[in-house]
Amino acid sequence: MNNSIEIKGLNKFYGKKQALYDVNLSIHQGMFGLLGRNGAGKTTLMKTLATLLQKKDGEIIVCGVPIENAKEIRKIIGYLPQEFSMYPSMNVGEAMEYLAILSGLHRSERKERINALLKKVNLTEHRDKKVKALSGGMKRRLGIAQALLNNPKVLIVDEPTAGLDPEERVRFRNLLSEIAEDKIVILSTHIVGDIEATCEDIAIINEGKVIYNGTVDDLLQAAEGRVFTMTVSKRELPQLKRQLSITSMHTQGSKVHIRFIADTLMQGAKECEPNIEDAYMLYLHSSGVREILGEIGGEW
Amino acid sequence: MLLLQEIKKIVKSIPYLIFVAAIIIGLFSQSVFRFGDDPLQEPQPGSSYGFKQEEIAEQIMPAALRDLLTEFSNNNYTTYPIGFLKHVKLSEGEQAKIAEILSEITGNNKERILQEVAGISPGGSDNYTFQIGGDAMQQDGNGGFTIGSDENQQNSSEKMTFAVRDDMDYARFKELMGQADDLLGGGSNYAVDSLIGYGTVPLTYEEAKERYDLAVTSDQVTGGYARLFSDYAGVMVLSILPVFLAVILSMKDRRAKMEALIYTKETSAAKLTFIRYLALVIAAMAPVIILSYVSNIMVWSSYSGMQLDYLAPLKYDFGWLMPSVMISTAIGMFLTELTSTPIAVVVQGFWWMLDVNLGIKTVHSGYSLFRLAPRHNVGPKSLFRTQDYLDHFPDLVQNRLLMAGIALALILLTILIYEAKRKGKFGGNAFFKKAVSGIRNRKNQSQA
Repeated sequence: MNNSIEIKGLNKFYGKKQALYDVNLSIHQGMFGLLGRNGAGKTTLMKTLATLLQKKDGEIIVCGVPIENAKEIRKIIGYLPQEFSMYPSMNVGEAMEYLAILSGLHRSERKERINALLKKVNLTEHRDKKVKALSGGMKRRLGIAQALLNNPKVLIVDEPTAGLDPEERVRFRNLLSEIAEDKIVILSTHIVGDIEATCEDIAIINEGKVIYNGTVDDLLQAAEGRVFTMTVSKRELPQLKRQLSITSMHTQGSKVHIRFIADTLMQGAKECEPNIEDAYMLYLHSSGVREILGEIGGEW
Repeated sequence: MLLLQEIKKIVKSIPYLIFVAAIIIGLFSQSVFRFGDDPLQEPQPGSSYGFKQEEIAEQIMPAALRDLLTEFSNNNYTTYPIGFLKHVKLSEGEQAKIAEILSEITGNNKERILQEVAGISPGGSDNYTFQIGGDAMQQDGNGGFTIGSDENQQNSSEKMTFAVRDDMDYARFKELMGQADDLLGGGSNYAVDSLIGYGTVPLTYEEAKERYDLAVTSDQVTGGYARLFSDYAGVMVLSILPVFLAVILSMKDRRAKMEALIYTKETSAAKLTFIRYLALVIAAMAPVIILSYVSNIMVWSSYSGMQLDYLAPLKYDFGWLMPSVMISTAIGMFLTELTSTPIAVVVQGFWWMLDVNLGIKTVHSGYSLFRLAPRHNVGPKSLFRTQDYLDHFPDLVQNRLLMAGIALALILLTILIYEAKRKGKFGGNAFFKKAVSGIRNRKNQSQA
């Protein structure tokens, strides 16, 4: 069986509103990052891959199985939605047991599999803890564990690190990287740091359209020579904000150190090595997304 | 294994504990745990054996006439159109039609009836007297009428006398009473099916003995008690309470934000829905089976030496009560899956209230096809009326099979809805909200 996901000409509508436009992607083993702003269409794409939404047209083949064959697809995917929980009165072990039964695991393999997964996500000692008593990070890890119950070929993880503290986020990324050693892991996020730390291949999606599909290296390469730094006075900053696409700022006394995207080198500016944030910004910028800078917030 | 997990999920929940408590309280209030206080006694010659209803024209006609006349004079008629008590007041024109009916039955002048009895014109309502019937009839102490007295009632010459005309044909009488019932909007005691209620006669020793023998042989005593338990359990608790459990369990995935996790698992919609349904029915039936035995065991010692049917509670639990649990649960699951709201509680509650109230007149023997809870509220004092039950047994079987069949059909529909929601083809309450807002928008547009 082919170990890749092929998406061709995928369109998806919610009523009359189009959510995905002619999406074409080829996803292979390892971590695949799906990057985009909130509302860009990432969750719609993830849900469609998880058989939770119907496509309008186009073709999706998951490891050789057409998406229309939902029964077979469910056997080979694991899904962790953006917002989820479990029966609060169940403890971790019970919740895993229940979902393992729903995953079709036989009694003989259930115990072993649950033990291994709880160990993998570092929840063994919390086995008897009620789900309602778990922290956000623990709940996400439990979510990953349940998604792996059927030992899927494809793991679909939607915005898994949103709201986690930095330590938990790092732990989570490492866990996903480990899992991706022998699986396709699709990580959807609007947090660039998650992609940077884990993915080789990515797609950037904006307003339902894939505006970049390739490797992180190629994305960075495309941004080379277009990212600059400059130190300016605080007084100049308002005007520069209007003129430039600033990706970061650091205040040092009366001076501000800015990092920005531009087509050519400005006077007083120095070219610098682009990071994935810069490259992502550049793509959004070149796609006509002007308001993105105001949305970066603290998660960049 | 999944079945066990689902049962565990239900029985470990607080709503289930409330459900069990409500069943115990509901049944306790009907004294089902004190059946032993009321033993089945063999009739002895020379005592009273109770009464039975029979279609005796000579008894029914005067008794019904008397009631109609009384209600006509007050223009206040009692009916139960959909089971609920309703006082009907007729217009002058309608009263005139009742007067016409009374006139045909009694031979009195219609205008005089209207003037003097209904008091529509001056004359007062005391200007008449009522003669119960023929020479040999009088009212007995139980509110019924019996044949056997030689006394006549005295009529004063200046007053109108109301008695059924000697040449009144019973078929015509029923027709006239049917017309009166139509004028009242139906549901009165004058309805053709209800007229038999006016014919009450005492049981003879032989009849009472026959009833007793049937209770001992056919019901083997415990069957009668099990049936009485089922009558109370069906109408008081099991036709309504299971819907709460079904709604709560059906909404649990959504409330726990667990829908997407379950939707993407391998288990089919058919397996999951059916097992959940089965788990709900088992969880609802378990306390009932236990309580039916608790109730039944209490009378066993009173009949030592007699052949008892120790499986009778189980037979009635599955045959009589389970279809009520099945339909109530299925409505809960179906409507909750369809709308993602607890609307099923309202729907089932409405049907239950209607069924209970419609059943007021048939509490001793209610087996019609669409009854949610069949009725046979007859205890050992009335010797269980086993023959009535046996006579209606085919109706009961039809009713119970129909309810179980509808329940299974609803579960099939629930499976289809679940699968459609799972694939994002149907949005549940989102669909209904959209439909409602569409209707509102159209209404607003047309008003604008």
